[in-house]
Amino acid sequence: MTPSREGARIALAVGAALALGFAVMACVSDHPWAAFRALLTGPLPSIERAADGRMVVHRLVRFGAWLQDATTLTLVGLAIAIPFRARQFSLGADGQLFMGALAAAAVSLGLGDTPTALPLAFLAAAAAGAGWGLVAGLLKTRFEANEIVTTLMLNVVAVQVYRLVVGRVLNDPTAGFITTPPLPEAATLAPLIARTTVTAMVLVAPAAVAAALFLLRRTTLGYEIDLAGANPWFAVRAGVPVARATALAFALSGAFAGLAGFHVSNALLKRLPVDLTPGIGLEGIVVALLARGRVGALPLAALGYAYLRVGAQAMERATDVPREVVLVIQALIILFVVSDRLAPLALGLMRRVRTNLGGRAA
Amino acid sequence: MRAPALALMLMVMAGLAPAGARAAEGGSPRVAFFVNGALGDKSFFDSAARGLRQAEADLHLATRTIEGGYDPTRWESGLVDLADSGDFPIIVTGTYTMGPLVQKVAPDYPDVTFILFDGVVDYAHCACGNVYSMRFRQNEGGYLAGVLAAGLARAGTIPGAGEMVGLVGAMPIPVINDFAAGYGAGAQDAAPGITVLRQFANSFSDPATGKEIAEAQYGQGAGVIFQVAGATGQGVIEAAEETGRYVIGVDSDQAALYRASSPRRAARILTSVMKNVDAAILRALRLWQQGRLPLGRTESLGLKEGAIGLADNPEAALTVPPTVRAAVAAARQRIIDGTLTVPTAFAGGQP
Repeated sequence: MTPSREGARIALAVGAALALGFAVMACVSDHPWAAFRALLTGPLPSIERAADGRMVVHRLVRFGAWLQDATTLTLVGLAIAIPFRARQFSLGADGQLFMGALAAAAVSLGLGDTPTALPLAFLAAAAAGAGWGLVAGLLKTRFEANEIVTTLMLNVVAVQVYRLVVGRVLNDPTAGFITTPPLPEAATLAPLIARTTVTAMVLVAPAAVAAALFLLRRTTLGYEIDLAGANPWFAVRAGVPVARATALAFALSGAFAGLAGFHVSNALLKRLPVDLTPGIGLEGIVVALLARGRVGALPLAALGYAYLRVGAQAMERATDVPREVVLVIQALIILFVVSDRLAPLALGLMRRVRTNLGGRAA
Repeated sequence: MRAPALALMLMVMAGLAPAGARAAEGGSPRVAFFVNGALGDKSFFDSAARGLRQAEADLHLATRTIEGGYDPTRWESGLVDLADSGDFPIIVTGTYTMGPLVQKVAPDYPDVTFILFDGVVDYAHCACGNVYSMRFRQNEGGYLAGVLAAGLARAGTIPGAGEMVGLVGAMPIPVINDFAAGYGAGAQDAAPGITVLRQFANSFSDPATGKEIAEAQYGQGAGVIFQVAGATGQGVIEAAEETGRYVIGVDSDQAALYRASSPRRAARILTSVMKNVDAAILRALRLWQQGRLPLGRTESLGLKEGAIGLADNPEAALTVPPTVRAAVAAARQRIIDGTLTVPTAFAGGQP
């Protein structure tokens, strides 16, 4: 598909989804226009002129929530998109994220308030995620275990291990809820923008994408991963170590999900509650699908999806649209954008109508 | 490829922003209730939401309830957003999980009043002169539930059940443990030597697991189960209906909530340990309106203040022998008088 066609396709899908969303809102809301505006402008800060003529920025926190969300989504998107290059459908980002968060918190708490805590926690998160990903990779390449099943099951194991360790080992009995103690300050990232949760991780995410792109396009391993995905039989005949490349693709994806875990533990929450909700990793699938598996497009897909999520929250906060409807509209938009056939169908229909009209005029 | 389209989309949205941002907020809600989870638990959060609705009717305050969802990474920005908006001079939120977040956010917004229920901030280490917090002595309600459950089990009127009562908790956190500590003590005092089963579902929102645990406890011979498990407890009530045993609800009058939709279920609910979060929030908002809210401190509320109590369920009450009812009433009076101190799970002897 040519770039302009692709652009038109996405614009059409988003437009159609928003129109349908508006129809839903019109049914449930007394002020559908206000709700719609809140959805579209929610994540943006508002700039106002104060009484004394100075410009005052409000709601920066929503802008921050957008970037924060996009950061996590980019990283878990990478965790899905990389095995996808090797034609592997990994659903394991969730478990890898939990393992990464747990490792980062454990290392931070173990080292305490020392300057090495931050880099070591960062590395520990990546290593723990990579290790957990490698397990799925080896199960696939050594035992031909279906990766969809193994990654889903490994998620369950990881989440329960996480709960066990947070609840029994790292538990802070004085907290009033089951959680680790607050991580030492030296191990956590300070916000870059005041009163938001945007930290240096917002720069790590695009750097991770660049690193992944470099790896996939400019290194032997990247080429091998691509070959393993494109035609494994041919690749094996040509002497490419397909099994190794596939397993490493899983490990690599785990490392990025582990970094998303680091983002949750050392940048956002700064302590880990036992009931951290699973499912953050699964959002990566949506992001990877929105980006159509292209690594370079992940940050944009993540920004778009996060924009929608934060906008939906803003709509819920500012209007009378209930949370359930917000979730429905959110799902509709994704459904439209990832539906490949829908847009060409609509475009074709429009063309037919136009030719018909043209025919009649002539 | 898709970049231009997305960029265009964002630009269009950005163009809308200045006009939209303010207009969208239309009206002027005054009280915001931030739920760190979702409504519909027929228990704790629903009770709090009821308090807000009552405040709207009685105190003529405009209120807005915002469900923050179950993802903890979004709670901080959700709370800051409410405080930062300037639309809400008063923000209500609850649970021990939110305590540290309120402690972090409140000093940045001295003009906003925070009402924290069932949670605390550390006033010694935070400039929280704009935070009022409420703690509940739920162990007192748990004690009464224990007296009732054990009394009924010992009376031997429940077919198939042994000398055993159960408890299904959401998670072993101090608030739930506090209910359980009172429950165990009440059961032992009413029927010395009785077996008290206790298990946790490790979730506030998993009715399926709640049902599984309850079925196991009923199967072992528990006649009555006290459920302290938020939305998970709905599964316990379902199990009670299916096995024909009894359950004691929590936080809201759960028999009343089920009476219309499922009278059979309501009939299995002996009573509910009411944690009158609704009344406590209403009281706090009323004090705030009158300018008498004791900001910068924590109040402890229990049976004596009417913040904790047992709900009446006329259908199920018929199954409770008069002697057991009398024992519950006597225990209640002794706690209010101060002649009986109920053990607590909180360090330092009080929540």
